[in-house]
Amino acid sequence: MITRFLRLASAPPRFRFILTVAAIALGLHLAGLYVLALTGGLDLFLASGTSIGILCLATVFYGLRLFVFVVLPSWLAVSLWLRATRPPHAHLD
Amino acid sequence: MPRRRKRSRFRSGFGSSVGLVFQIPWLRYSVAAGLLFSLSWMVPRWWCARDGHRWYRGDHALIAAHARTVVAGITSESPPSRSGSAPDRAESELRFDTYHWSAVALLQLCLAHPELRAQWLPAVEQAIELMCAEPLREFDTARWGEDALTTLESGERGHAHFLGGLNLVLSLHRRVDPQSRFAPLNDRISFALARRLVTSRHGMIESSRGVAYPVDNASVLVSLLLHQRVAGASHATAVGPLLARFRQAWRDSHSGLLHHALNPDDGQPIGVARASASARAAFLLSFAEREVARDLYQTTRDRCADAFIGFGYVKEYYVRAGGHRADMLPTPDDQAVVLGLSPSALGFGLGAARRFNDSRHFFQLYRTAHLAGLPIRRADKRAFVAGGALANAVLLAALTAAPESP
Repeated sequence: MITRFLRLASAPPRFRFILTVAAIALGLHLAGLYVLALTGGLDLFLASGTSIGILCLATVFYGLRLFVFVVLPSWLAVSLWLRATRPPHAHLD
Repeated sequence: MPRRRKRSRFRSGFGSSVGLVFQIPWLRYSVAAGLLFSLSWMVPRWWCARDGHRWYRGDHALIAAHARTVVAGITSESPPSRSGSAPDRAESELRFDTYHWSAVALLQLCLAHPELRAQWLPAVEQAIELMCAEPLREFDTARWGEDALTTLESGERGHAHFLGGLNLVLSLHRRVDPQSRFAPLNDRISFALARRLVTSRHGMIESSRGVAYPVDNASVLVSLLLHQRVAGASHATAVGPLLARFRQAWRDSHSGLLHHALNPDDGQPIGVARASASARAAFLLSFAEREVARDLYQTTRDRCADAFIGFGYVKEYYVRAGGHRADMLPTPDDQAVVLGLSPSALGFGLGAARRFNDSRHFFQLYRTAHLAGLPIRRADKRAFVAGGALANAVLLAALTAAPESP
């Protein structure tokens, strides 16, 4: 069982999985952005005395934003490249 | 049952000998690594600078959409009353600053686009009325135990934040509208500030008892310089020495940054010099003066600004070689600092970079402002989600700071 788990964990992610993650991250990011705009959740998050909840929310949202802007495009491109240049005998997903 | 292999579309283009070359493992993974690093560097850099280019070339649609947000922030507010709904001191100061920067930004736009004055000037005048409203003056009245506007002629000291901020807006308004109905108030405040400067022991006006902020004195200075131009008055005895202090006396001898706060009793700095104070003063001074403003801007950029993969940031403190961060004790009126970086210095630095045509630094800072400020478009408006109304007003002023001084 452990061997099977390690084999699964070390296998490169399928392209469909990456696309799903990308779509979810983009959707969450856009939804979060509009919710924050409507509620004014980040209006005063840099002011002194801001609650820890707002700070945590801001940290999670900025983490997601960094993922969408920095990690996601290159991850998608590299996956496409590896898929396009896969050796003929390799497993195709 | 054997698994059926699907034919990938992506492989069709690589079926030739070129495709076979890229199937060499070390080459394949080298290209993948190259793609990973180059795209991580290029894509966010390009994406976050797209609007920066539009701001830099003065895109009317973008400016109008953002200005509508700032105007809505003013017109949606009814004048605060003395009833139970009056804002507390911190809130009234925040609202005062928001109206101040909203008015500055819109007046700057009126000067750059006179054809759109009718659209923006009523909101500016509403902002001025709100700034003058008694409940909004409460934060300053409580600080001094006297009302700034009713003691203009009799008062001897203080009120730099309130009077400097208000007078800057009034002088700019008079620049846009020479027949300004606020001209008498502008005259009264200007002469009162000039008199207080001349009679002060160390040539500074306090913001609250025991503390004078150079940035508030920068507002005072700019308002007087603009008043000289629009009203033909002379404040030479007040503005000359004050400008000289921004050149040297109020700057840190080692870094050249502007001191954040000063002791009005002995003229000595409180705490250390900061990038936020320097960038804000540089942007404010650039409304009426070039030489000192440019020097302050360049010093802040050279000492505290840096960039990572094209995203600019400004460190709040300048730590010299061998120096220690622990030497820099925060003052009671500490600015928001995130991991040693200053969002305030970034915003005002953006304005100064725009004013002095420093496109490289402008785009670096804009990328960060875009990434962290969360710009969003809703209906016909555009706004930055982070920072609220004050950040939107400051950024509108900064992003539309024309190279020609107002």
